[in-house]
Amino acid sequence: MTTAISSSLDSSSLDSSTHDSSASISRLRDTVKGMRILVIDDDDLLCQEIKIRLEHHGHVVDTALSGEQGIIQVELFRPQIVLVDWLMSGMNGLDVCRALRKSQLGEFLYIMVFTQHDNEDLLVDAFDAGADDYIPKPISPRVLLARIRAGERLLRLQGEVDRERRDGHRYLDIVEVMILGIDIQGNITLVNRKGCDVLGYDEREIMGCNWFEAIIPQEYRGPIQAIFDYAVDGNMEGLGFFESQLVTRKGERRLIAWHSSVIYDQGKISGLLFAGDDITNGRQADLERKKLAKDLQQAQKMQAVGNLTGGIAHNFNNILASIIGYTELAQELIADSGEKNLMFFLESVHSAGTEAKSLVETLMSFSRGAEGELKAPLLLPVLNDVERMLKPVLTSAVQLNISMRSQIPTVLANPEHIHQMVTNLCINARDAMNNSGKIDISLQHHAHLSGTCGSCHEAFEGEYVELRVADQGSGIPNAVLGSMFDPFFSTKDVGKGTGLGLPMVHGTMHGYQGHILVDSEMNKGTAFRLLFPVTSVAQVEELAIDSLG
Amino acid sequence: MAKILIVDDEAPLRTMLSHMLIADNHEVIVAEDGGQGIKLYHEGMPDLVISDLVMPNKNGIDMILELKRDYPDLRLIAISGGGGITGAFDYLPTAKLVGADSILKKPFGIQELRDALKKSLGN
Repeated sequence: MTTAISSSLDSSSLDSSTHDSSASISRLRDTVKGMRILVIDDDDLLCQEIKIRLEHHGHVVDTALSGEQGIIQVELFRPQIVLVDWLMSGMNGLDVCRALRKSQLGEFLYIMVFTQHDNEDLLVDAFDAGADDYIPKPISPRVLLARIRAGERLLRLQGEVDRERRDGHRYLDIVEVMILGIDIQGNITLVNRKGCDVLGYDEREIMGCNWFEAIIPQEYRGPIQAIFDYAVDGNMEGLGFFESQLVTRKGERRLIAWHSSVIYDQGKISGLLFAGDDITNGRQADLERKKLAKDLQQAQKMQAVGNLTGGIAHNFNNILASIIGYTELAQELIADSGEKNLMFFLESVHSAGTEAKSLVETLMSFSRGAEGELKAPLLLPVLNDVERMLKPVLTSAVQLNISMRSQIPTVLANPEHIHQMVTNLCINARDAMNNSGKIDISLQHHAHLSGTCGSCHEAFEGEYVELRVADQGSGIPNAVLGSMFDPFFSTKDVGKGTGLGLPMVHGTMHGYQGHILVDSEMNKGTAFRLLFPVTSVAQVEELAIDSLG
Repeated sequence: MAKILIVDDEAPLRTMLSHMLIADNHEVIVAEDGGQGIKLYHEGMPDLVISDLVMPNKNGIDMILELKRDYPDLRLIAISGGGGITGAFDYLPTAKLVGADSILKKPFGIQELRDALKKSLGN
């Protein structure tokens, strides 16, 4: 027996070199036309005879002299066809069949059993054990070759199916769309490369997981489960296109547009197939585009309102010139007449005209921006002045804090404008806090700041000094944020606010080439952040030359 | 006292200014725009011009430039309400640059006007 085994090994020296790796085996499969066949029989002579005959027909053959050895040999030699004798000492042919079918390699093996039996029950036992065919003993070489050809045909078909399946998977992996299959329990049965990429999982990790629990965020589970249940019940209408978020392994949310369809297996619904497109970035770009369009619209509106205001103000000034002028003429005419009532009436007309004049001036500051002499004042002393001026306006329950958060470079501004802007903002803050709370006024330098202006809605970036007025008031509702810089827009009771405070701030700041940021949270408070561009030395000099000319 | 040309496209304003000036014993000529202003200046040779800036046909700035070219000693007070339908540009500083003696922002009072007259006419 020992010699027989070694001779069997010797005779397959070609094969022994291929045992090293499966890569070399598959190369061999490509170059050799015949089948790789393992013969398992304790009759050494029979083994050798079969080996010679089959090799003669172009097959590659290895032999094993026991069932146990045969199983090891399958592992090493990787045959496509196994011929095994039924009657052997130790493991018999049927034991070998069962063992091989259980092993991983067993799935693709074509196994034939040599037998002297012709009893039907026993033959059925062989098939039940996992045999694909049987060859009656004594073995007829022609029958053996014919049955190997039959096995070869079957294996080729199986190979094609397998290749198609692998190709299918490869195609799924090529497409830049997530493909996800789930069974009717919701367990993942298929996932392609893109799906793994987006989810951040390995295919092996995610396969078999419940997709509701693994990737669908809590708040989406209900609706998607409903769609799912509806579809599994055979209702196709709920399916088709839907969007949902999913959670990646890292916990990120992605927005996916899903196309879904039902998978049927033999007429019954066996699962669902989803093709998903990651639209997170696209949707963000879309939102940004919409916001830009809205900002532009707002900017245009502010400009249009500015032009309109300028036009109205011009006409108003002409009318007021007549009113004030004629009143003064009349006052001079009757100055010595002693007409006390008439004097009083004219004085009233005059003071109403003067009041209208200052209203128009405020309105003009919206449309034209800041005018008047620009200086490079130190802001902190200006703010301290403001505090002194504001004290009478604020009740004792309103606390005013002024602080400087960093060294402040110079800015070009008119101290009177700053007085007026800060006063306006503080009065708004006082009203938003119902006359009690804290107003923080602070100064801060930003070497570089970028953002979108809260009033002109243009993007800005650069070096700014920020004058921040923050309150602990009721906050500004979203609906108001878009209109609060419009002239005459007011949330205060009629007669309480002119609707010109914030427009004046807007006009003044933009006259300085500055911007405004508004941070507001309902019931927490609001901060108006006035951003003054930092003055370069050159600008200050230019201003000096201008004022000389 | 003095012969004064008023140039303004707003009729009520021309009338009001005339009243003010006549009350102070000045002689008054009126024009409705810059072109008419130049013509009347040539014809009437006033001592002083009081002119609006934002006007149709020929605006105040162009008128001042033309008059200044022919009459370098032109005495002129520019008046304007600032702003305008086309935008919010204020022309008063420009008027000062091209040679107005004084600028008055509408609406202004009699006293402001008298001070400006005094400055231009020197009495």
